Amino acid sequence: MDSPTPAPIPLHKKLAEATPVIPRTQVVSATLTGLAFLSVVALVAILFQPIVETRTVFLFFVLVALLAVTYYVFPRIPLVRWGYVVIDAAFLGLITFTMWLIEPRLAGFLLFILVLIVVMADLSLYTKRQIAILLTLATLALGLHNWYRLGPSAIGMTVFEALVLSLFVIESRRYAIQQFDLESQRQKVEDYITKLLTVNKQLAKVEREKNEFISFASHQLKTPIAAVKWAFQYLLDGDAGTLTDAQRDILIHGARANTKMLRFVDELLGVVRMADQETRAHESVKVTALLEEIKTFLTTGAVERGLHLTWNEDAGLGETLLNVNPLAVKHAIMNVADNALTYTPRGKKIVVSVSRKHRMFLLTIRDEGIGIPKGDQKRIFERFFRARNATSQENIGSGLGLYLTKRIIDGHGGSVTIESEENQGTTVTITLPIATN
Amino acid sequence: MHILLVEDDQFLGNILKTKLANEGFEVTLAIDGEEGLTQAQKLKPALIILDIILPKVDGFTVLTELKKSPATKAIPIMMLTNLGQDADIAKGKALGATDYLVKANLSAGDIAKKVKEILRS
Repeated sequence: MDSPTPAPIPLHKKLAEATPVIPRTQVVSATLTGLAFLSVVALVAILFQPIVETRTVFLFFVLVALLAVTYYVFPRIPLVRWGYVVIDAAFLGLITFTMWLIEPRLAGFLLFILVLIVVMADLSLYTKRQIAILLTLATLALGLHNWYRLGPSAIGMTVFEALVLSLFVIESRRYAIQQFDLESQRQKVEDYITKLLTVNKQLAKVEREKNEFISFASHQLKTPIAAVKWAFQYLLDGDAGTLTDAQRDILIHGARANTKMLRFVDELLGVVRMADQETRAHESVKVTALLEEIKTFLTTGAVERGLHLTWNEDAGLGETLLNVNPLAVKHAIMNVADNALTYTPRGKKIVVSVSRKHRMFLLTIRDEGIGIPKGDQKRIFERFFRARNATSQENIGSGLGLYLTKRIIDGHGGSVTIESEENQGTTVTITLPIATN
Repeated sequence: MHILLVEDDQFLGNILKTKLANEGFEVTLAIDGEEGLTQAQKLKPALIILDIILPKVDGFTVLTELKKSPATKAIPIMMLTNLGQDADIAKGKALGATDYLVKANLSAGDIAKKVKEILRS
C-alpha cells in the first residue's frame, strides 16, 4: 500500500454515520454496568442515609430495568423529525409544570420517560447523543432545584438519572466509533474483492491466449516435423526406389533424430499445458482404469526391449477410487514407467507393485537399471536436470519427465520418492490420497 | 474403393496418395475446403481424410457441412492434422468424425493401415 495514511475522521462524522439502533447486546451490557454501579451507590446510600432515600434507590433500580427491557423489545420509535421535537417540547413543558406547581419528585420521573423516548427515537446517534448531554444537564439542574426546595433527600432519583444518561453518552460514543471502523473495514474488503475479480478476469484472458498459442505453436512446429517424418518413411519404405545400405543407414539416423525432436516438442508443449491441466477439475477414477494404459505400455515396452516385467497388484485394489485429474496423473506415472524402460538394460527386471497403506494408494516401480548417482539424486526432480549417467544411455531426454511427475503428484496431495543405487537399480514410489466419500 | 483426401500440403498429400494407391485404393486429392466439399458431393467416396487447417473453408466447417448433407453424411471421416489438443480432438469427435489422427505421431503407412481397418468394419 503506497497511499499515505488518510486524515483522521472527526468524531461527529463517525457518530452521524453510525446506525441509530443500538444492538441489543450493547443495551444489556450497558444496563448491567449501570445496575452494578447503582448497587455500589445504594450501598453507600444505606450507610449515609441523609443524602438519599433507599426507597428512591429501589425505585430507580426498577426504572432502569424497565428502560432496558423496553429498549430491548422496542428498539425504535419511528416518527418524523418534527414529531420528536414536539414530543420533547411537550415533555419538557410537562416536567417544568410538574416541577414548579405539582410535585418536584414527579418531575424527575417524567424526565426519565423523556430519556426513554430519546433513546428509542429514530434519530442519528449523533443527535441522540447531543440530546442526552442536554438532558443530563437538565437532570442535574432539576436535582439542584429539588435540593434547594426540599432538602438533600429529594435529589436521589435525579442524580441517578444523570448517571444513567452519562452512561448512554459514553457508550454511544464508543459504539459509534466501533461501528464506523467496522464499516470502513468492510468497505476496504469490498474494494479488495472488486480488485481480485478484475485480476481474475485478466488471468482468464491470459489463459485463453496461452491456450491459443499452444495450439498455434503445436501446429507450426509439428507440421514440418511431420513432413520430414513422412518423407524419410516414404524413402525407407522403398516407395521412391530401392535404397543402398549406406543410404538406408543415413535415412534411419535422420528419422531417429526427427523423432527425438518431435518428442522434445511434445514435452515442451506439455510443460506449458500443465498449468492449464492443473486447474482442471478432478474426477473420481478407479485405480484399474488409471493404470490400464500404463500396464499396456510397460508390457509392450518390456517385450520390445527384452525386459522381464512383473506386475503385483493387491487384491480388491482395482475398485478403489482416486479423486484426480486422470490425464495429468497418467502422464505423471507414464514418465516414471518410461524411465524404467529406457534406463534398464536388456535381460533385466522391472517390478511394479500396486498397494494401499492406510488412506494412501501406493505405486512402486522398481527397475534393475543404471540407477542414479548419489550426487545427482537430490537434483533429480529439477527442471531440465539429467543425471550424468543418463546421457550416456540415451542422449535424448528433456530432463522434464520427473519434474512434471513430481509437480503433478504433489499438486494432488501425493508424494514421489526415489531410492537408487548406481548400476543396481532405481525404485520410484508414488503415493496418492484415496478418495473419501 | 475411392478415397477423398482433403489436404492443402501437396507434398504430404502426394505421399499419402501413393501409400493408399499401393494398398489398392483410388485416391482423389483436394487442396482446399471448398474443393473438398465439391468433390465429396461428386464422387461420394468410401472414406474422406480431412485436414483441419485448410484455405477457403476450414476442416471443421467442411466436417459440419458433410454431416448435414444427406448425400454425404454416412461417409466415414478421418480427421488428419497437427493440432493435437484435447479440445480440438473433442470438437472433431463431437462434430461426427470417425477418427482423429495427428500427422506428426504417425507415418503415412500407419494411416493407410488405419484406413483399411475402418473400411473393413
